[in-house]
Amino acid sequence: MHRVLIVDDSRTARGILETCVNRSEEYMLVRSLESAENAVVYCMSGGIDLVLMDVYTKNGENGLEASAKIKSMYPNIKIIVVTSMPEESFIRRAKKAGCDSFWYKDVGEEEILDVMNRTMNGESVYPLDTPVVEIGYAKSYEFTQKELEILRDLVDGIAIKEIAIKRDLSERTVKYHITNMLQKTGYKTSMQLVVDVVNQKLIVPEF
Amino acid sequence: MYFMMNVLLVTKTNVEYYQPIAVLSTLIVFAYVSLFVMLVNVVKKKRNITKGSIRTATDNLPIGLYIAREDGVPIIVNRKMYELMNNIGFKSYQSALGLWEEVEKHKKLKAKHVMYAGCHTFLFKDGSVWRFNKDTIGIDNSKYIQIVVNDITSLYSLSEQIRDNNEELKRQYKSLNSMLKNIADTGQQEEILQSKMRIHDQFGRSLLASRRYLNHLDDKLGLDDVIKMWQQSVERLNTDNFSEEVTDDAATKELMDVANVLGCKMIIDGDNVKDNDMLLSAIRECLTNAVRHGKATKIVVKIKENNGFLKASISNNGIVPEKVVEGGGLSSLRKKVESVGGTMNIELSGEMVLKVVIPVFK
Repeated sequence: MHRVLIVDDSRTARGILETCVNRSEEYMLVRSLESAENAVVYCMSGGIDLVLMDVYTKNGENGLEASAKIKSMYPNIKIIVVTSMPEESFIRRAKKAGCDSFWYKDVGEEEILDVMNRTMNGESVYPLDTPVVEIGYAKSYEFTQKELEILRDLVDGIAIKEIAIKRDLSERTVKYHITNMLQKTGYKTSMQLVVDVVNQKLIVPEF
Repeated sequence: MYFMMNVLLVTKTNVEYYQPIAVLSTLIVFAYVSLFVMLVNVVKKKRNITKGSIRTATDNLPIGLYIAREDGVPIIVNRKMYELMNNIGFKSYQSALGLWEEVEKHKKLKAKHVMYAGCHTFLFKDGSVWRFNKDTIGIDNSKYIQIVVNDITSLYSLSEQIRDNNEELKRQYKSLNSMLKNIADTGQQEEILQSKMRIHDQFGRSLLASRRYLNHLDDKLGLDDVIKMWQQSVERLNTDNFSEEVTDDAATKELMDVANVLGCKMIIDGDNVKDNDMLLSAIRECLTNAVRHGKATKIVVKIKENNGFLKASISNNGIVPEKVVEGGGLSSLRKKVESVGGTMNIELSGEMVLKVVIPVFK
């Protein structure tokens, strides 16, 4: 019997995950928490085998950062990141934090049990790609990594001059990338682009 | 020949008549020669640099110029410089070193002092702006002090305008950022909606299956299958109530529960305690250290809010360390607290107490 800790600030989402865990005979729900940082403290109690960790939790706490802390202190605890946000960096950051698996909530509950089983059997289950979202006329996969980096800076409210310094690029290059993105999406201003990117959750501001 | 003879004859015979004309002609010629000599001298003078010409040239410059020996004794001070020194209220006219000392101290002056692009700059009441630069120049193994004062009124005005625009831009970015965060938060609402839709769908599937079973439309569908489907639907509703009630102290209460699970009773003493990220981080850090290193069973958090600051003291009944070395957790907490203008202190007197003062942003 594997002991499970669920971390999600939405009662509804938590309820669904709890039902899923309770229905399975191989898993036992130990506790559900709203705050990712409280989960880090909770893991001190021992007796947790698996954490189902939401990314964006109570008060904007970062589930990926909390996962990294749990993994550094308790490497034997398995962590599955669960999210519904198609944020382009989440998969990459979850891997960097040492999380064992990653599951998109919208896929369906049957799958989470499968991911849990495979994870507990030592497998690392990650989706091949982030779900595709449309930004204007462009698909999210049409943006280059450099463009996404600059887009993230724009979303965080950083001016072009500062982006150039931060990314060690010339202002002209930064503007070139922005122009490329505007051409792809069909937007006239970077403001329109930024608002759509945030609205589609391709990038979450300051997260 | 006849004509010449006639002229000589006439001249000789009319000497008295023609004498004044000859004198006048001589004078005119002399005047022309004198004027020519004078012009030549003027041209010559213009080609040579003299003390006077330097004085005139520097006085006509639109900048303030003060050139002095290395020991400060002035060599050239132009008219504009005198005017500026007088208008600003400097007293050390007779020494470049004294003058520069006054520039650097900039006290009790008539013009407002600012540093602009790393230079001492003075703002006059009439709106003009003058920037002081001091250099040491070397000529023939000697060193000289050169103080140049430039009129940067237009440049300064444009810079001010750019600075104002940048401030406005930053304010707008901040406002935009806050709006963007709100958009990001709607993600949770969408998530909830999708979950509710899934529950709705499951109920729909259960109803459909029941109808098909009751009307014998599907031979493969057994009573057990239908009951299982309804059980799943009901289970979902029973797990929790699905209202997304949000309270402003949920994370704090949750942390108290977590402390209980760890065998450490947490008492929070304060009125109207609300979740505060910084305070929660401090309590978590204390709780973790108190349980892990101090074997504490009780942790007391006293909170007071006044004048826009949240003051909290967090103590525990665990083993008191002789000395606290701020490692990863405490040092990052200190950075976090101090980055928002707060303070953090650790006291070791009978018990370990962590005190934090955090500004409250509303």
